[in-house]
Amino acid sequence: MNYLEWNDSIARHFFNEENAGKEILLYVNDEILTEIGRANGCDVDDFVISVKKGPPWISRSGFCQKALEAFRGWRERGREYPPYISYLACFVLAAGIHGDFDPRSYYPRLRQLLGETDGTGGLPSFDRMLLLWDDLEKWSVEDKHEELGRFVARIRGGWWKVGLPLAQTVISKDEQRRLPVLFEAAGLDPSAPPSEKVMLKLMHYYGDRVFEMKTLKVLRIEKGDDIILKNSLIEMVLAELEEWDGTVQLDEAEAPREEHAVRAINSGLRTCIKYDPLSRKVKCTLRLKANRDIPVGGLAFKCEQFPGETFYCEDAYQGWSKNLKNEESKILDASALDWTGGMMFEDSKNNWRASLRGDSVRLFASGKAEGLPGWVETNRLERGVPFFISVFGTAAGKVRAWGQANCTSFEELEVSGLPPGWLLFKGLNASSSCEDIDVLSVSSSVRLLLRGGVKLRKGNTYLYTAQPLIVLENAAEEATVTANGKVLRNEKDNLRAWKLPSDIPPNEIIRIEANTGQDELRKILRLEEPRLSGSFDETPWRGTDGVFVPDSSDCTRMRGAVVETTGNGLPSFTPRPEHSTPRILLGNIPGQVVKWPKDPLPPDWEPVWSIRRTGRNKWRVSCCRRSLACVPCPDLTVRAGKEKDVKKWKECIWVRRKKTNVPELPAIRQRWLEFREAARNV
Amino acid sequence: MSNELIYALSSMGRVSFSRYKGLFKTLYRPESDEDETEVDHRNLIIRMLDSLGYFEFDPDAGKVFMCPPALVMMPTSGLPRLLLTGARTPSLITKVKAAIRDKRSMVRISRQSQAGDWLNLPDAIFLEAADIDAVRDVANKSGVFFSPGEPAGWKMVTSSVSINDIEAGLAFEPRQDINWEKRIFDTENLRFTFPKGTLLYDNMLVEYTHPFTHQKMHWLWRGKAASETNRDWGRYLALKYCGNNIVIYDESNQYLGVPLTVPLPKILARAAVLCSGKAPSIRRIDCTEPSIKNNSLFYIFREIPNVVAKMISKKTGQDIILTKIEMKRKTA
Repeated sequence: MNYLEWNDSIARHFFNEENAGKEILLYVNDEILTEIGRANGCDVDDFVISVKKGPPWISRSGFCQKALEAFRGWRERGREYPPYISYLACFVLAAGIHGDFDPRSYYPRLRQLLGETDGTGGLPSFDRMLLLWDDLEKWSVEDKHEELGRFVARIRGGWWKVGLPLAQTVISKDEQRRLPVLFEAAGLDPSAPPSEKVMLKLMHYYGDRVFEMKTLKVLRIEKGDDIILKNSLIEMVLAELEEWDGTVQLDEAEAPREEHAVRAINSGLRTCIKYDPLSRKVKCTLRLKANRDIPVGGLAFKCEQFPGETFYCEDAYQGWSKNLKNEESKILDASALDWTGGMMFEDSKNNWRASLRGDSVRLFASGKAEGLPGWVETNRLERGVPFFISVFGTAAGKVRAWGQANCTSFEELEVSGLPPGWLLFKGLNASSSCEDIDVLSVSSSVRLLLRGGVKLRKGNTYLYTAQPLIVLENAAEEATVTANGKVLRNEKDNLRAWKLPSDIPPNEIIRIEANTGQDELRKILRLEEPRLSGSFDETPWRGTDGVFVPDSSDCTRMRGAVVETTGNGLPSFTPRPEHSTPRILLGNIPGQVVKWPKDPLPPDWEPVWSIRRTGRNKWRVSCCRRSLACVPCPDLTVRAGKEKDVKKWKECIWVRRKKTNVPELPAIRQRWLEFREAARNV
Repeated sequence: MSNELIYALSSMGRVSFSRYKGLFKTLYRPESDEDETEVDHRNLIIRMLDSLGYFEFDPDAGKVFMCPPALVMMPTSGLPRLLLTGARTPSLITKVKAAIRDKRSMVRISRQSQAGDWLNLPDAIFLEAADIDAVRDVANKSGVFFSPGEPAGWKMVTSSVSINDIEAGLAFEPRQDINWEKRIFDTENLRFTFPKGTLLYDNMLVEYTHPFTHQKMHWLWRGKAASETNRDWGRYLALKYCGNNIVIYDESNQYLGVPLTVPLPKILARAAVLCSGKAPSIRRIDCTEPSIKNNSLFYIFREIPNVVAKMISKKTGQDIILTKIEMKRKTA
């Protein structure tokens, strides 16, 4: 394979539609290159030869010089993928080379890979390779709108020159695939990720089943520049957890043989509380939060601790279930459950398990952000927000001491409604973690997230009419967020959420930047105006029984509100003023007046106007005819009915003119005004 | 919520049902503490959007297909009033408004929210015209299909098959009961319930759920013979067999009601909705009729002309119950 063939194959391997919106690590090793080259009978050596040669337009001789030449002006060359990806892949490949090297050295590995045994230290112009990494991010995010994946050029480790290639090797694809095993074993809930500190503990504890040796080594890093690498690994695992839909692929040996066997689904149950400060009562309920659809018809759970009982839950919205109910449709009182030991609920029909985590300390955050009433259990304590903590047993003393020393306000509440022995505390703005109580570890990192909104495609393109909310998780109150340089204002009830301004332009790149005082975070997105889909040819037609019929069908058929009939078979519709509201019907001749429905419809003249009462001394006039052409002019040459009818006719049109709303359609209004003028002279 | 939902669906044209559910999940938020209502919002909204003519939902293909934008006639007695249905985007509405600007004395556009109920559906957009040709011009200029002639609701109700046609099409054959999870349509409580004790399926509608795919199948039993049927029609057939009448009509207010658990068959539901362009309200109804339990939830369709109400009841095999329908109370 020549250079460009290798380049595009590698690019396609990492950047493809399956990875849309996901962060891409350019994790290249011997196995991956062998897999990519296999179809053409090529291996890693062939790759190295090709990359040393470079693309056809190269004239320079140094390795990094060639890479720069591949990069310069590449967009004008009309290529599908950036033509420097092979160089970046080569840098990553070098990071994984085994041999007699100092574990922290990079350049000797690179030189060995390229067969450059003469020199030492970095290659000439290696520092300028940052341009290529940055451009790869720009291409994936701005040019491709993350539709093939999102590359983030973040330097991991303390060496800014080699940090990027090293960062690509932080976790392998196989390890990434195995992460759900860890999530399940640790009983993690994707919708309530733990803090970094707790995640690290869990990764240590369950990591043997998931991580390779090199990754476990990273987890053990305690100090030095490489701590950044460890933090990046935790960050990546947390991001994967949030994407996890709760399924764990069973090993082949374990998997049932039935054709339709479903994978096990795991989700978390959350206790929710409503606190009434007047009665000092707490109402505890239980909801399910899932990253996948709750089946239509809901779930029916059994629980070992409640033999013979079934608990039902139905989809509410945005992955939340309604409160769990018992067989009598009564909301389950969660204070009757074992909060300390935890409980497992299982719906065997849907192969769905929902666990209530057992703990002696439970943390509750406001349900507002989720659109839920009351307070919802969470696994992560954020700075700057109010919270409730429910505690059982000996932990209470520790929590009380921590709260008083580390929160802006902290008080113990005397309440009823909690499980026996549990206490309730209310706090605000925790500044530091409570040692040894996982759920009370205050996260140190701030995350910039886009929540909600409708993505038109996978990637970072959103519908202009359904924009995402910008959320700065765990940020201090003074954090600022800008969109294309313009400072945004907080959402009304949520200090950590920002809406894009209403004048934000559609179809342009929008740069979101957040300044938290310590970090600068950024995201790029694009808002696209909704446009009608080009063709509706695929929209099917229904027959008169509501069943879809072939397009070629020549029977009477319907699509949406449109009916296509054959022949003249349908009876015609004769509209008549059926509405109950009493109204007065008027003709074009003075005296043509009928109070309907008290009087019958006139047999010898057709009403022109209908006047009905809309309020006390308020009237509204509307036209009874099908078109302006059918509305005759007033005819004052004759009179109809009796004198009182003529008087009534005038009263309706002229006398009450200031209390009568005129027709809104200008042409009809004009005709009504003609009637008014005519009635004046009657 | 649903303006955004319709704009998103209109941009996509055709989406898988799972994508639809994803969009719904992202955009839908109940307006208040509706969490404990007996109403399944996700299914209800898809049913309403389908009835309002925005899209066609094909459950077998698992796809939602947007319908082309169209202007259809409403059954009004005065000047022509038209409803804009099908796919729409803000730019389409701008185009329609621009086309109206040239004919502003003859055509006007109005927008009415479906508010007043918790059911957060897209605004209804109406055109009123002093001349039908003016509407035709507006439709041509804005690229919207124009369906002149009889009102859409009337066309629907007169075209729809009747319960007699459905009955004639049933193919009863001797069958064995199948060992799937099943529920029986209880004609007294008007809902599917799990069977208790030994069963005699005479004149009963039974819903079977496939153990793996969870797809539902409905069989109408007559003695030891059964015929597959459509669920919506099946319920009305079961009610016909036991002589229960559940369609109510308030002549003076032109309200037509059917129990929430016995929705009208698809085409008739569209016919009813297209009489007003508004989704039906959901109300608790107190009724003296013995076949209707007090305080039951009902769909209440508005602006249903007498002739349409009668035809709907006839086509569903129901003797219409004339009653006063109180619309003040909202859903529980």
